[in-house]
Amino acid sequence: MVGYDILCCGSNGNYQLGTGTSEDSAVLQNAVMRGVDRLTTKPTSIRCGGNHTLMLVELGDVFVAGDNSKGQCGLNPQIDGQNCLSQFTKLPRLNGKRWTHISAGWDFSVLINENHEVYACGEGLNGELGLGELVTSTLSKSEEDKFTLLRINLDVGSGVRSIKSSIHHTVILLKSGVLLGWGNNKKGQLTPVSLSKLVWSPQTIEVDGNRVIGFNVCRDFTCIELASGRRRFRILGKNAEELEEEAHQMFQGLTENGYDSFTVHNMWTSLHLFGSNGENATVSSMGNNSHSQRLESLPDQLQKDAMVCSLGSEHGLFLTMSNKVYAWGWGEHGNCGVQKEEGTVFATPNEIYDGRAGRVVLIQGGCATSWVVTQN
Amino acid sequence: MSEAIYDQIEIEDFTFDATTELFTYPCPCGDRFQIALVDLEGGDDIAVCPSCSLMVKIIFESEDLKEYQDQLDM
Ligand SMILES: [Zn+2]
Repeated sequence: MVGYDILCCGSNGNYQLGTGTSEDSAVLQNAVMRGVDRLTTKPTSIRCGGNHTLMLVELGDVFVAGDNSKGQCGLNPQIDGQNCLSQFTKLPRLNGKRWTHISAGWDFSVLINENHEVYACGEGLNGELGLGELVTSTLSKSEEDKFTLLRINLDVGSGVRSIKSSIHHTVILLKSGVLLGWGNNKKGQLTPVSLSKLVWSPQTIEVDGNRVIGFNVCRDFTCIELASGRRRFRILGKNAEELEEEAHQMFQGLTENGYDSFTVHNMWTSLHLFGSNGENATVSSMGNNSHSQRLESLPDQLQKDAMVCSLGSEHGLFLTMSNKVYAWGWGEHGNCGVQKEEGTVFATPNEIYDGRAGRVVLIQGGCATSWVVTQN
Repeated sequence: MSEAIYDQIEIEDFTFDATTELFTYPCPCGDRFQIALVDLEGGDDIAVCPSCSLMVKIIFESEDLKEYQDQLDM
């Protein structure tokens, strides 16, 4: 029977790698699934908070690891051994309902189930929980309570297409095309700052009737990809106008050079287009480049071979057609693999997985962590 | 060797703890940048992370500090 291995490296001070230790590692380690000998359901999504990790597997179960002191993993930290989860632990389903979507911010998580119910857990001083005015924690006063999950008052209609969280805000795209968000709005990430610096409950994000294809949530801005309209990207937040112009240039540059298909990705402080012209891959970037977050160009080999891109807090990952994984950017905690030179920066992509231990089915960049899920 | 400042962050984005008198802000490593109120009063504007080499420059005017100083007297 097919099984899956969760390989990971990087920052691990709060056991967020779920490997059973709190040592950082520059070499991929095996995460441990508590009470599970071998994972036989395929992981479909990994989301990383500041110091905690959520993993969703097919069939709708969620596993959590790392810091749970604020209840950000959904379990009551007052229960013995649950203040910090050193191994991946199954988060029981609420009322038996399968989980369908997960998202994680700094000290909080958002989960959605098959009944379209949206739950938040953890702590958020800037409205991150979406639970209403001045609700900053879901910690229970009772030691009896098993969970820290509280339901957000949000009707998602026929369902959710995608959900993403930055460290301090969350955005949801509904199947109906409606875009909603809540959390930190100090830079106007969700709505004009003049209306409110903090958005405590889900609120519609205005896109002037344009159809939304996708979105990205950076720390200080939200980037919305539109199907129509004057420009491909709408940016809300800090320096929105300049960033929107820059995104427009980046998009034009790609399409003029024949890179007609692309996906949009972000680190905390930068935005990246990963494009393909059917033969070669390329990456085009804007934003913070203090630690080589922006790749000037792809090495020849990766131009031919890069297939999937996933970004973390200030580093990035490529999966190649030859089943290898490369990392670049800020790698001080081992999240870009072993550093062969001085310093904390990987200006050229560094191989972190050689492709030999199984076929890669999922990669994910986290908060100075890197994740490679293999099928064996 | 000290590397480039990672980013510039406005003081309103920091969380201020009136007990420890520390301003903190998330670092991409998982820990938090920190700087003491007294350091800001002394003109220092670089917050450091206890767990990595990253640093951020804090954007503020000295009159911005008043609302935090007022929290201490309460
Ligand atoms: Zn740090």
